[in-house]
Amino acid sequence: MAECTDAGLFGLVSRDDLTRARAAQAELYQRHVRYLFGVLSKQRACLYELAAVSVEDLVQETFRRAFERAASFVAEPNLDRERAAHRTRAWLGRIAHHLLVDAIEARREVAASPFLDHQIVTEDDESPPSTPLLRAVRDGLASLTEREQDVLTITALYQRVGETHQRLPNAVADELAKRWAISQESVRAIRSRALKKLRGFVTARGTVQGEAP
Amino acid sequence: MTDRDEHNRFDEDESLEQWVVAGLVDQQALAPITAAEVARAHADGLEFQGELPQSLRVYVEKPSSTKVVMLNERRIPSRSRVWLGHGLSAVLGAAAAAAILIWRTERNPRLLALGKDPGSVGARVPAQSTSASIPATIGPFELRGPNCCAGVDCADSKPSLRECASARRFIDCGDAQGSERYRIRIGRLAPSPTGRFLLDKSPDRSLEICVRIAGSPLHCTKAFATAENEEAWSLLPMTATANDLLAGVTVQLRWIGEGESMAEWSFPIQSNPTVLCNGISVKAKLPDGEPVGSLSMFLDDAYYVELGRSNSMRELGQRVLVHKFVGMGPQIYETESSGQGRFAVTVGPMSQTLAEATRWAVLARGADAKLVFGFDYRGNALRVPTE
Repeated sequence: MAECTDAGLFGLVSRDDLTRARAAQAELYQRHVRYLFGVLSKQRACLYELAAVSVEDLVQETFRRAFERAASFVAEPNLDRERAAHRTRAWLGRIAHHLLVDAIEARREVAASPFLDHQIVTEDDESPPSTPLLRAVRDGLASLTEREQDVLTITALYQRVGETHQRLPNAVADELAKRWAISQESVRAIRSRALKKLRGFVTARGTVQGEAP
Repeated sequence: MTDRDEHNRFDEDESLEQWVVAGLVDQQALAPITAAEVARAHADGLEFQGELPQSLRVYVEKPSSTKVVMLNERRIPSRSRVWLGHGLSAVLGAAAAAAILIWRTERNPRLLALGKDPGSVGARVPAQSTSASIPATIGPFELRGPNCCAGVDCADSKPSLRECASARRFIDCGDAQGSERYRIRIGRLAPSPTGRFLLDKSPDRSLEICVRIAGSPLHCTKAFATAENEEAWSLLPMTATANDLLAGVTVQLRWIGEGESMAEWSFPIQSNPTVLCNGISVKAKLPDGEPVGSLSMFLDDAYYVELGRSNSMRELGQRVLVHKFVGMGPQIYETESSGQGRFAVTVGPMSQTLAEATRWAVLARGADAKLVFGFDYRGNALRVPTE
């Protein structure tokens, strides 16, 4: 098993041979559990509080869901082992991300998941590489208040579910408002103000460095 | 793409939001979901290096967690799950509290002389009575340890810690440790000359004091009493443990409605008998270090034992008469509840240890009691005569 690629292991998981499927599950789990637990542990605590799940729960559920849907894992040929692992981990991250969104949604007692069926692994990788601007954005985010960061993080969570202009559901905005003892209108105002501050921060950083347009 | 191109893209709203998402991933606030993000996470060394939690050491095939809901299945309404969880926690909590009480009574001389009267823990619990004919004694509880450090009732107090500004009368050397929670009480702002100048320059604006402890939300109150009968102190609806205080206390001065901190004070606080006795002096400063004003902060006892709520003060008074409280006085608070339960009858505030002892003594009498922080209590209390 140790020699198998991730795609090969997912292939075994999705077949009928229970013994081999379990061995493949165990191998995939050992390869990636430390990574997944590591990155999910770093996420903002407010996400888990709003979703009412623990990091451990989310890790376990992510693997369970990945194995359940192993047949949908699409291998990309000619990738070296490291890049293949990145791809697997991106897929696991995407599943975890959607489970988290779904768990937050669950708090408003909706009966079906709107997001998880959209899981695919063949999307283009459009995230920007690390650049001075990205570093400025990251520093700008760090300069915001905890409340502003919470609001932007929750909103960003919903922007990532694959639909353009994904709007924060009212019930989620309501939970967020309760968490900070403010109104939903204030949540929107805080988001708007945070974006304005961020834009100001990044623009100032660019001006200082002579990078501004 | 050049940096200039990037900044041009950044100026568009849609692009800004995408950059925020990218920034949050880069900041590790969101999980990586693309191969490029994963590669950066690897570069940042995000893989967990320590010992995994027990539940994650091996993969165990099992049905979906009850917390993360199943796809395409009808879910248990989340409220039910929450209440189920709370119910279980309450049962486990009560069992743990009983175990701790017995264990600590054996081991710790500070705790608890619950008395040998029929109301003691372990005694037979009589049927609940609404009659005031045989009041049951609750307290006094001997909670003082052999070593005290401050307060007028402590013979070993240093002179500087005899008269406590906090109004505490007896502070055990072992206080301010462990899981005790404190209610945060702050005084009004005494402006510095700079602060006075800023206030005079902005007659239409009002200042508020906002407090955050560790990762708590900010809790704000007016910086000045605006009416003659307004309290010189403000009890914030927040509590903190010694660990929280050590993680850091931030006090901000803000113009009401403007949301930005104008001046700030931020320090970790090591809670000890001196802090419990004298409180903390907070000096808020502008970003350039110029002091704007000072105020006091105290760590008060946080726990009330609430014996019941009702819209009828008479009913609450009768409920109290079932007990004879020694060393503490029952009182009625108006609450912020607009429905049933406008008034609450309580004893406190007191330390967690004393509150638990009191609660168990009341429970052992067959009556209801619970620990609360009294965040929704309004105004001053009405003392209930018990004789």
